[in-house]
Amino acid sequence: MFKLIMADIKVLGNRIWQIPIGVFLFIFSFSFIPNLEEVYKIHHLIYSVLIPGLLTYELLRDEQKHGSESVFMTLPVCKKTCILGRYIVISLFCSLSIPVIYLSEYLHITMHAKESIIEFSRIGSISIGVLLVIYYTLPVYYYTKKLMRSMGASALFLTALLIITDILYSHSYRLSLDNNTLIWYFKFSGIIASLVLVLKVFEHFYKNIADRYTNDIIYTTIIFITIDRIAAFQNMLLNYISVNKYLEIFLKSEKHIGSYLLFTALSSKHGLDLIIVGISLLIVIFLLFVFHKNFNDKFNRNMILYILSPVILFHVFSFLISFHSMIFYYPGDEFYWNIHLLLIYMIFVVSIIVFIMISVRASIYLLKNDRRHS
Amino acid sequence: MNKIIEINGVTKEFEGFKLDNISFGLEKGYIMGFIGPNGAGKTTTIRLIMNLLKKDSGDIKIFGMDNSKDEVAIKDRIGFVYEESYFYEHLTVKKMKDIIAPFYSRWDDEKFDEYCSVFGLLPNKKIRDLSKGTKMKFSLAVALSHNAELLILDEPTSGLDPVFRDKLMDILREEIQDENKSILFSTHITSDLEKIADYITFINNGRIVFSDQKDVLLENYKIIKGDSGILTGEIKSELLGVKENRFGFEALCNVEKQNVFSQFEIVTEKPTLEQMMVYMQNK
Repeated sequence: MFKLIMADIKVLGNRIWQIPIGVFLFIFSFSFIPNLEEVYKIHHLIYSVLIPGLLTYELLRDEQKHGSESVFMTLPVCKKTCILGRYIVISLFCSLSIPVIYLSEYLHITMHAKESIIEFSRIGSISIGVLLVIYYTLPVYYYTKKLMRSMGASALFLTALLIITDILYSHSYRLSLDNNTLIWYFKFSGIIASLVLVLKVFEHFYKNIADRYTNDIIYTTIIFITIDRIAAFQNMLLNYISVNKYLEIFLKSEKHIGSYLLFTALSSKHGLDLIIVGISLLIVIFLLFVFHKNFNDKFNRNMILYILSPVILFHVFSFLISFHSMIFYYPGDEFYWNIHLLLIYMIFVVSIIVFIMISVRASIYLLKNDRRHS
Repeated sequence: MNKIIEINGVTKEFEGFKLDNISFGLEKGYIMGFIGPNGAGKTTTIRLIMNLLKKDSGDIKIFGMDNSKDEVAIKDRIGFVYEESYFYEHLTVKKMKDIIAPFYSRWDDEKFDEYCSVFGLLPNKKIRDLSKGTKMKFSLAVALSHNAELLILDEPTSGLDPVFRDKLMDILREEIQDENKSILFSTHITSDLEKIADYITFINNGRIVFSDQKDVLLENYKIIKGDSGILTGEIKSELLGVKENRFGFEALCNVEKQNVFSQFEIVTEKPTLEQMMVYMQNK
């Protein structure tokens, strides 16, 4: 693995430094023109997309001419290691944008004597976006062997994702919905992915491959219903736990008789809801299992599952975080909250590893299941 | 017999093309010519052998090992030369070698330097500045410098001039002398194989038409020339591809079936591999 990472870095040579520094200088020069300072509001986004994007382009530019016969594929290294090595290198490119963002932000604040602070949090959300782009771009590249096409598709995907996520996010504020950006981010990734899937399905449809079209749609629908049921089950379970937590507090304080009765009724209602949603979840999981087994076109089946994996995974991880905070909530216990934060970071790291592993598997699968005859 | 390559019942289906149940083998110490027209399935077969593609069914064993499960051990013993240079064009010969060498357990730097001097490769020259023939020499130098026991060459001579093609054949002939190496040589330029191949495998439309010793094949078939008047439907059915013109006919025929012409005046010739490929393709 180390040899592969070093080989990729050697392939790039001194370009690995030229590109971040070049982008940095370009954006930095804007800070001298007062009217263009608006650009500075999105400079972190430009760095985090352009730096890994340009470096990845430089890395794969020569290789893509030869498709699967690239030099690394013929070396005595197993495919998984080879592709995983490539993911690690590209993740390193992504991380290279972080010091550039900090440096640029620091210089901007210092030069213009501003009183603002460096915002660390937004870098985290950008890194998830970039991760999502890698998640989808590399498998597309390994399938099509067309670098510009896969990068273009991902750029389009990211742009659509950012614009529509923003619209949905502002909409969610008005409706007082759960304003967690990530929920919208990932849910929307599923919507875009399914849109691509629908387009693909229509392509098949116009080629008169109606049976594939029907199976794809049924399978996608079952997965979406499963995701919806998981989300509903999560909400019901968390509601049930929180109501019972309050009941515990009321019992201890021996006060608020009216509220106690109300919460007892709520607990009973949530308990019933939980059972109903739980049963419906079990039914759709069973349906998914049966259909998965009987889906004749393995390629389409695996692709649908891969495209929708981030949505499923996000629900699982967000549930783990919420469940943990609900179960062990003790007000005022700072030590516990530190542990909880540590757990959130751990889940975040695990989720990144899981995402990369799924994407690596998809890349290997797509690379080896090339359906076009050369 | 010690088989280096064993392919049994391998199938791979694409949209509009199927590699259909192909089987053949290559023994240690021999050169096999893998011939067929463009789009016949030669490159797909090589990609399957190299585990660059996933087979739908069948078995591929290299050095007696499964090509998918023991991919790393197998590739360590294979030298692969592709039709076009698949190296990073902006790197120099030396830098590219430095990237590749650490991956092979039996890489021999001295051998590489020796090949570089024989082939006239300058270490500090960028790959993009090399001619097509020199790029091929570099590919060969890399493939031969890690003591590979099996060389897989995918159309290495296409686009090369006859002088270098001849030189390449000499290099390959020399490499095979110790009888420990084997070569699978895919090409549609069959004249190259006439000189060096021990075995010939012919693939057409995704099916193996024949796979046998070159000399046996050339002895088993004959080119028959005669007057078109003798070609009845029954006789035509015994022939493997017929070409007719105003002077008569020319056909490929199995020697066992040659007796159908015993009562006619015909001319027989030993076929070339190219003729065999052309006639069998037109069959």
